[in-house]
This record gives sequence, structure tokens and C-alpha cells, in this order.
Amino acid sequence: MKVPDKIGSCLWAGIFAIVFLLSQDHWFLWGDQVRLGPLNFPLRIYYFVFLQFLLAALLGIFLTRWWDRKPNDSDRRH
Amino acid sequence: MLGAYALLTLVISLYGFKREKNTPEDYFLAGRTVGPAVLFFTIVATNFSAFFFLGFAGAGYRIGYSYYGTMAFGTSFVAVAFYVVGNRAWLISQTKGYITPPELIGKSLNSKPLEMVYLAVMVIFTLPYLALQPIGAGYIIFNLTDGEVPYFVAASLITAFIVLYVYLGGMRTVAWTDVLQGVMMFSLIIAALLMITRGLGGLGQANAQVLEQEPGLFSVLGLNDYYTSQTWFSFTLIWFLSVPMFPHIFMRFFIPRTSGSLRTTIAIYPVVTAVLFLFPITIGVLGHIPFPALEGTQADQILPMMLAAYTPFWFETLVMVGALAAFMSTMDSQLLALSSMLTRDVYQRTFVPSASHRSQVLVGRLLVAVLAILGLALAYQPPATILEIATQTFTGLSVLFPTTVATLYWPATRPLACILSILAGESLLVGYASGLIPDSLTFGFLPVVPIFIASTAIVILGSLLITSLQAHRA
Repeated sequence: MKVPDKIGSCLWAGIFAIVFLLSQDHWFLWGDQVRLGPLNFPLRIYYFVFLQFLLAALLGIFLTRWWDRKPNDSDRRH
Repeated sequence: MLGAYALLTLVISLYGFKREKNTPEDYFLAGRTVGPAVLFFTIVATNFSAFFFLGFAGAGYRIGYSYYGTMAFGTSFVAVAFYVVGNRAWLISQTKGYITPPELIGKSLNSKPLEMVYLAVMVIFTLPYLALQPIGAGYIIFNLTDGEVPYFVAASLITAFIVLYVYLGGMRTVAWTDVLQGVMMFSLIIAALLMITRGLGGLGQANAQVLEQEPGLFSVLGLNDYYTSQTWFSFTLIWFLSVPMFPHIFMRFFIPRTSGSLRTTIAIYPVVTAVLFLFPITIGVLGHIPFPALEGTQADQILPMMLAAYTPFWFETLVMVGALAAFMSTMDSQLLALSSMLTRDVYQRTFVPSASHRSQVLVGRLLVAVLAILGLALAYQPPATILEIATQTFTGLSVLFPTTVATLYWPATRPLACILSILAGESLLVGYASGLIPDSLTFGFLPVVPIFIASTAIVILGSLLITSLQAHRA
């Protein structure tokens, strides 16, 4: 079943909002202890690199499905 | 090296001049023919000024690895804003033939006053930022020549050179030189980190040494507890709201040949920032090993200091030429964007509606020179306020975001509500900056957060109220 435009838009807006919230580092249970990853970078660096690649992947999926959709009512002014 | 770079840029500008069709669309938007690769580099090179080279390293030194979280992710998330604003802006400008952002906003809502207010904000908050470019470029050449070329002479020479190639080739030249400048920036900063870490005994060992020396650089809050939850949120949000509103970025949504070009740029933008932003920040953090206890503006020199300590002179010079290219790639775009807006929205649409294409291009070219001279004049003896205004640029432009999104997506948007939103937002900015509004009323966030909330509320509630009143009268 095809997802209606408005529901689909809200769904994707929610997905990107969640990704943004995941970047709010202080909400995570890192604590004060420094945890190191490869090359002695803080592990959080790898977390943020992962988050950005996740964002790129989600954008890729979103843009493939959403880019050429037909204009809806909000375009009638243009 | 500087001469070789200048020569290459001139060759590109002459090629752009030969291909030019002498129409506003061709001069200001490269005829809307830009492909995905050029579009990607021109957006990235225009967005990443010398702040990428010098400022990131300095911030890495002062704050530590936490700076990567806000800057890299915050900038990556701008790709979502590129879709939200860019896709619709491209579609509408293609269909209607709009050339400037104020033109798009004003004509979409059929409001000349809104167009002028939108234009005024873009010009007011871009001019001081423009003036900072010759300042930075002048200091780089002054240092590169060991003081033989005085600062203001260097700033003037760089400005004159930029005016020449923008005058000749317009957006086509600017976009192609951005490709050259982008490739330089990326390759040089990667090579710089590799060479510096080799001198420090390897990246793992260098990080271990810094951790032992200054563990705060590896902490969540950053050195000296720089971040709070509220400032972290503010810094990750501000780029999303402000970067697409920079006129030189906004206009790049109008230049792609196809919508697919913009789609490619949006998709790979987060990958580029994820990888590249780590390099200058790491150089800044590792700077604590040879140069501990730098304070204030000294830390902003950490990149050239590390290059001098660990790389051969020719490479250090090459990186500084890369930093110069970064200044130039931002300044040329700012000049062209401001020139296009003043030509279309003031000269043609206000004073000379019957202006021919040829005269619009001529006026645009002349304005490039006039604006460059204005920027140079401000750079000669910059008042303290220009630096304060420049730091408010991002917040000042983010005020336009609610109006822009509402105009692009919401048929119920009313121009009066947009004008009030912008005026209220800028008034709040002045209030916070001057101290008239106490800092406590930001509730720990940067002013951009309460200002954005207020501006958005006014657009929405104002439009609904006006619509309701109009319905009552009918």
C-alpha cells in the first residue's frame, strides 16, 4: 500500500529528528570516563563518524524514494 | 606557488569569459548548467572558508575532540536543510526563472516589501563577513613573505585579483575555481596530518601522549568544561538553520543542470564532513605536545606552527596557499551573490524594470568591483563592531529560515507575518548582542534557539491570524 504523502513526510521527518537527537551527546550514558578506540581516538569520535554515515545512508534512501514525487497541494501557489 | 595558482585561476576565468552569453542567468547562475561534481565542490569550497583550515585547528587546541561532535555532525545535518530548502528552490527557480533568493521569496508571496526586507538582511549580514576575507588573506601573504608585502597591500592585491576573475567569468568561473580550491583544501589537509603525525611518532602514540598531558581534550565536555547540554544542542542546530540562508549558498540551489546534481551533493555531503573535519581538529589537539599552554588567539596559529615544526618549508607554503584559496573561494562567491541581488532586486526590479540583459550584466560586474572596494575599506581599519557583527552573522541569517520554509511549503503563509517574523528576530538578536536582553533569557542556550522559536511562532501564528481576519471580513 502506498504511504500517503503527509504520513510519509512526517515519518521521514521523525527519522531525521531521531538521528539529530542521537547526536545530543549528553543524553547518552557515556559518563565522564574516557573510552578509547583505535589509534587512541575517543570512542565517541567513531560514534559520530558512524552517525554521519548513517545520515548519509538515510539521505540516500530518502532521496531515491522521495526526490521525484509529484507536487502536492502546497505547490498550487507556485 | 602563489603565482602558479593565480595563473591557473586566470586561465579558468578567461575560458569562462569566452563561454559567457552575456545574460544575467548566464553570468549569475552559469546558465543553470552545473553538473553534480562541480556543484558538490562549489558548495563545499564556498561553505568551508579558511575557518576550516585555521579555525578548526585552533578550536581543536582549545576545546579538544568534543568539537568534532558539534561541528562535524552539525555540518553534516545541513544536508537535510539543503533538501528542505534546495529542492523546492531549484524547482521553483527553474520554472519561474528566478535568479536571487529575495526574488524567489518576494515573488512567491507577491510582496515587494518582503523582498526588500529579505534582501536587506542578507546584505547586512554578509558584508562584514565579506570584509573579513581580505583581512585574513592579507595576513597570510604578510606571513608567507616574512613581512615583505605589507598586510593591506596584500589584502588589496588579493581583492583586485578576485574582482578580475569574477568580473570576467561570473558564476561559471567561480564554480570551476571552487573545484580547484576544493581539491587543494582536501588533499593538503590530509597530507598535513599524515606528515605531522609521522613527526610525532604515529597517531596512536601522539594521542596517548596528549591524553596523559591534557586529559580534558578527550572528555565529553571538552577542555575547561566548554560545553553544556544547551550549548551542545545550540551548536549542532545553528548550522542547519543558517548555512542554507547564506546568499552565496542559497544561490547554488539555482545553478544545477538537473535536480539529480543537487541530490548527489546532498547524499555525499555528510560523508565528506565526517572524514575531513577530523583532520584539522586532530592537528589542533596534537598541538599540545610541542606547544603547550597557548592562550587566546595564539591557539588560532596552531596549524601554521605545527606545519613549521614538522613539515618542509615548501609544504608549509603550499598549505598556506590552500588556506588562501579557501578565503578566495568564499569571497568570490559572496561578491557574486551580493552583486546579483543588488542588480536584480534593486537595479532591475526597482529602478529600471526595462533594463536589458546586457545592462544587467554590466551593472552586476560593476557592483562586484564596488562591493570589493567596500569590503577592502572596512578591512583597512576594521572597527571592533565589524567583528562582533560577523560573529552574529549565522544567527542573523537563521532568522530567515522560518520565512523561507513557510514560503516554499505552506500556502497559508502571509507576507506581513514574514516581515514581522524577520524584524522581530533581528530585534531580538540586537537585544541579546547589546545586553538589553539579559543572557538569562536564553536559558543556557545560544541566542539562536529562542530567536528561532520566536521567529517561527510569528510566521505561523501571524499567518493564521491574518487569514482568519481576512475570512471574517469576507
